[in-house]
Amino acid sequence: MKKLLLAISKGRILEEALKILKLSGIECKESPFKSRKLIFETNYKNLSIIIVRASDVPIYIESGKVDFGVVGKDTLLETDLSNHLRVKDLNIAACRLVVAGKKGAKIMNNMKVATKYPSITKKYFQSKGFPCSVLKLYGSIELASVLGMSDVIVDLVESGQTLKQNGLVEIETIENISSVLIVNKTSYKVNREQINQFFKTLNLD
Amino acid sequence: MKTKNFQIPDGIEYYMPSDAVKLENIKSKILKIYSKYKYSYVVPPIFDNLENLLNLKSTDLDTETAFVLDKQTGSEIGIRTDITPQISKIDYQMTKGIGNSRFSYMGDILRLSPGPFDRINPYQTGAEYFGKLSNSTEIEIIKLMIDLISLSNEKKIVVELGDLSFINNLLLDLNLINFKRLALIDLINLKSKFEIKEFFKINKLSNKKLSLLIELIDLSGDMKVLKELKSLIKSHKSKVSLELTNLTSIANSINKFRGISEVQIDLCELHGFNYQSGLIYTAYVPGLRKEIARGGRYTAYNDHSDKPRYATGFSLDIKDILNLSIGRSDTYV
Repeated sequence: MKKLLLAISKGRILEEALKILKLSGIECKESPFKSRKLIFETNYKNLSIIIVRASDVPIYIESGKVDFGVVGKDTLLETDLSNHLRVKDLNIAACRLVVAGKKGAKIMNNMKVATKYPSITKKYFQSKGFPCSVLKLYGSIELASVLGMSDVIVDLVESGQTLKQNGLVEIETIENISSVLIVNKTSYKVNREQINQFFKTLNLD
Repeated sequence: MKTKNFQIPDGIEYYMPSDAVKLENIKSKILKIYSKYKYSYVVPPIFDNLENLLNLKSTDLDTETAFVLDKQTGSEIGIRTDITPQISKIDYQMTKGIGNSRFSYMGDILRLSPGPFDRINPYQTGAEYFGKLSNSTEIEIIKLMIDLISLSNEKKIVVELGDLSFINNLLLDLNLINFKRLALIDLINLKSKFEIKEFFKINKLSNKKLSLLIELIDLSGDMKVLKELKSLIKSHKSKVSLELTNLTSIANSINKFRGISEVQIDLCELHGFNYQSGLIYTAYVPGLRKEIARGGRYTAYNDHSDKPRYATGFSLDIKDILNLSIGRSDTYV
């Protein structure tokens, strides 16, 4: 039997994904929140979990060294890696990917847009017929709009409090985001029976 | 920048003496297999006229083929990304589209947009059959493919059979504009049922077609699904029951071939350059993160005649076979 590996994004997705696993009776032998280990064995036969940065999950799956991943739809939309199957929307870590800016701002031509998601941003603005320039940032995206480094931002919003506290408002919603269970295509085809058994345990339907 | 150290681009490899000998050994074993199956070996060039590289109807080939400007004539020549179009041209040159022919080939190709674990310069080999297609020609060429893959020493080869007619008919019935059609194809490739449902809802498409598509996605797996697929096709009064009968016959003939092939069925797999139509086949082995070989039916080059010339063929990267045969990681480039 193959040793299966599941990659889960750090942060809120990890907390909620572990809850789903626990409902199916699957638990890590050590808490990922207390240990500095990189790979965690579970009580499910031949299943281990790795905890990685969200944007790295697709590349672990692409490599085939990791069989499954739990990752936000935002990350999947941003990547062009596609050697996987999207098994199930887990409906966890729900939020929205939005265009936001100062009060009164609206989408128009030639805007500078700060974001962690250059590919999604380009596609979205193009689809609206407004070409834009993208400023790639890795965190605290709101600051770009507050300081005038960009006209608007594209970022994830959960409650909207961060935007509000920084004097920004939502302009448009690009996509509703939640987390998705994905599986490497070859791994699924070659170990179909074992993987289907795991999905059955997760009670995905 | 000049440097005294040896530098090469990402995704490119040199074969130094010991590896080069191993590569040549594999190539000579492959040639013997082609000879046994009576597939004539040909060697087309890596640079060629665009007409010889882009003669199959494929937008993927158009975007993946690199161009070089011939400064003397001002014309463009291409660097091939797939050898199949050249073989199709060779077939026409030699047969004028009459009768049956079999060709095999190997050589460097250039992949312009490789993924993070892909090599830019695979060493592609493959076989193509031209002429009257039947189940027996497909069975013959898939068995040839399995024999080549077995040089990797992998103990299990999953051969997945599909037929694009099922999805093509469904897409035709949906009558979508091109960019929506392509978006749906992407979702089908990802088997993303929840996003497909959303797509149908947003675009107000037929629920009946949606349920057929979801059932087709669910009915992938070992040979047991063929029976259920038959009832599904019957219940939807689909025009593709002959295709399913042929698929079943081919599946029965190649399952457990040499004791290592395991047939799976997936009618929603839409792989490869988009010139293929009808029956397609893809092979997977446990040691490789992506498919090891893929192939299928297509319409070959045929300049003058109104009668289309049909073909079937597959290709694979010999460097994958080499790495697997010597136990080297599949992420090694």
